[in-house]
Amino acid sequence: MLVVVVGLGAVVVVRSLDDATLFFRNADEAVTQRDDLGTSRFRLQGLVVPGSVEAYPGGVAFDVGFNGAVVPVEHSGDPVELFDDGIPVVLEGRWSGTNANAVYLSDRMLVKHDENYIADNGGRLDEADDGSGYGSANASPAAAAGA
Amino acid sequence: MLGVIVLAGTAVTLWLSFVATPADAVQGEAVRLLYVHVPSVTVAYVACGITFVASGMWLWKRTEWWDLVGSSAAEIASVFTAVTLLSGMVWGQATWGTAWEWDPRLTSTLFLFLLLVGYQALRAASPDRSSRARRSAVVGLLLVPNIVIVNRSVQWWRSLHQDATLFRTDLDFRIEGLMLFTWVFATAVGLVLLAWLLMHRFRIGWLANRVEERRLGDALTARRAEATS
Amino acid sequence: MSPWGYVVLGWAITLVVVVGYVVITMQRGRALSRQVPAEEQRWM
Repeated sequence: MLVVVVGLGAVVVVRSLDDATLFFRNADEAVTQRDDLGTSRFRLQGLVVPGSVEAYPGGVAFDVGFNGAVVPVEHSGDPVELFDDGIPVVLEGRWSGTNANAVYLSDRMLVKHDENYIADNGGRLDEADDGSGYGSANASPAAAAGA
Repeated sequence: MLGVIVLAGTAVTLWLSFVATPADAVQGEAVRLLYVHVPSVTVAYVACGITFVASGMWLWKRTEWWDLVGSSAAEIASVFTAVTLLSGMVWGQATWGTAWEWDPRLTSTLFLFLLLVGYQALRAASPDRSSRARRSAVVGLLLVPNIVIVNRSVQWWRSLHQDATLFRTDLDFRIEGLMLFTWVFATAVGLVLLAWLLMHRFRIGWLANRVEERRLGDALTARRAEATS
Repeated sequence: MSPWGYVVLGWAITLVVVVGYVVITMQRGRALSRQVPAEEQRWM
């Protein structure tokens, strides 16, 4: 029992050194480090730029912004449930190339919820629930406050 | 008495969490998991804090009382840490779109859980009462440093997990009226439950020690009887 | 799963584990107190 627990602890420590200290790169860092990153995989964090979301067959294209930089993203697969304008997301994927018009090719999307809790005033949520809400241009008040 | 408070408080908490509080503007209904997930981790932290203090006190006073306080609180802490991880996985699946990521907050919380399980495994593997108490007191002293890492992980490293909403150094609480009240109320109920559990778990440890002594006493009498015959 | 489904699942897991622990704790206490004479049970 004791040996099993110590072994698991060691695994957790190794995993955390691997991953946890730099869980994601912000959009501005992803741009400045583009040459070094090449086409290797990394996690990208940024806010979904309001009005940039466009669905296409098999995926969704949008921009994420952080600290003044904007990264165009092509995400293959369905966006997560809370995906919307102004929401902070963490994406897994890679740059398509190292040139200035490269896009970030993402295949996994996580929503990074912030620490703000605000009562829903109705309206916006119903729109999100039917799954077609992410094309709309209205920015949520909570996300705007968190940004 | 404490049991009645906990039962009534749980009923009120359930009503507040499921009926009275509004949905969150971004999270929607999933925000209702806040009122179970965060109070759970608060109870786990407080229980770990008790084990930490009791471990220090045992190393100073070397009394059975402090050993039992520390080990009782550690067992309760492991239950509430487990519950925190499980409800967090459900909440993560609902809001982030993932049940588990090796992010700093999640990883350090898992490590805290393993430390608490290791504490119990070490006690079970110890041959006698004084080595059991000494070893577990040393592990118990690791708990609070670990909690500091868990709690600060969202600031020290980048994390998928959100920053603190309430326990902020700038005292700028990021939550509204009834949601805040429900959170504080649920935490209070959790802490009363902790007090109840601590008393009952302490009594178990106390009785188990008495049973152990009686067995040793019986064995000793039997051996003496053998020697004189 | 719907948002409500997650909410109910998260609460249910927590309540089952905590109530289960409470029940186990009470049973352990009862079983042990039968093995110890009343005059040795005082701990406060």
